[in-house]
Amino acid sequence: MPPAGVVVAIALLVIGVCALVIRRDLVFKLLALGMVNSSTILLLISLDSRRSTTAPIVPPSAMAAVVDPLPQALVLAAIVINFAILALALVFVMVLAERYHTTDAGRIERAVAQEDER
Amino acid sequence: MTQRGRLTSILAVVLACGIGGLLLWSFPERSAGGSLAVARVGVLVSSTGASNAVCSIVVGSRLFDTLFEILVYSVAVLGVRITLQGGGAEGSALTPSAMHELAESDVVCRSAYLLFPPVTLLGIYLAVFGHVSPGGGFSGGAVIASGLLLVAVAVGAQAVARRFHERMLERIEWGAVAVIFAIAAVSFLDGVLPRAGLFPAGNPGELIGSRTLLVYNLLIAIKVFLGGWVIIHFFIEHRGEI
Repeated sequence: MPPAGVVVAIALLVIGVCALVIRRDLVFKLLALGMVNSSTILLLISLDSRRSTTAPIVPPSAMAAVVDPLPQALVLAAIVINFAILALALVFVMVLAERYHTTDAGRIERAVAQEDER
Repeated sequence: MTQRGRLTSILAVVLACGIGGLLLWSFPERSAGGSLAVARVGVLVSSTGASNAVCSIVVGSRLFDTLFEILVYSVAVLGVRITLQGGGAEGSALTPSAMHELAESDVVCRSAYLLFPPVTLLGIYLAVFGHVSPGGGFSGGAVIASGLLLVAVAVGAQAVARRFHERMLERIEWGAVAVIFAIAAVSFLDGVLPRAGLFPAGNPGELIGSRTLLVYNLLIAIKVFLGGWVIIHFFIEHRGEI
């Protein structure tokens, strides 16, 4: 049986992907994208962590059982890039909402199609 | 919702559940805290002199990855700045009286001002001691930016922004990025040029003597703090007060 963190991460991933596809509101889609990203972070952190292990910070005495530091370092990149992507995506949603007065993806698509026809 | 949309949704849910189940079923059994992790931590700590192995990877062996990560963050901040600069939403510009109405009560404002110095101090501590204890430049900068957000929520972003010189902040932000890249370029020549390694690795656990990790963490904290503030400021200015 995988660790509890991995199970929760996969559950979050499934919920996030479902919300990403089903919800039509762009803000909700971004929230779902954030959830998918969080699930990836949780999965990476949970990969090698167990109750008996400690953080990969060397104590003065010994380093008996430490967590692998590599996934934790990779997670940092994921957090920063996700923050940057979400900030930019929110700006684009704001621009679209100002132009078309809605955050519904379907309505925006129809409005763009009507503009193209003109 | 149309029938086609409903069908797509059901298909998406079934597919997502299937992929989730497959991931759970195929998850490999691993032994935690194996000898590989211990060996990796040992090598990292001895090579950089920093007792935090994660920090050793982020601004040590994975430095160039981190540099481009900073670049991506900077480009995103620039994107937010360029897209939102000057073009506030129609009717979102607030008059001084409206801003006054939106400001929080005196208790909240004073509490925010009281909390800001310790929060900033915590952020600086996380950045400075990031290589010997939990923390680092990214988390330190994020904590300081959160402290400023607290003040901005309480007294209003416009009032906070008036205290800063926007152009100066921009210069400091990009200056920090330039210095990070310059130090990385000099460090890259370690072994080619004499003293290009800048600082030698000391004993693990000591504040000074972990190569350039302390400098990187401080500069990254400045960059993240200022970038975070720019994003917060432009979002609030564009849409009105929180």
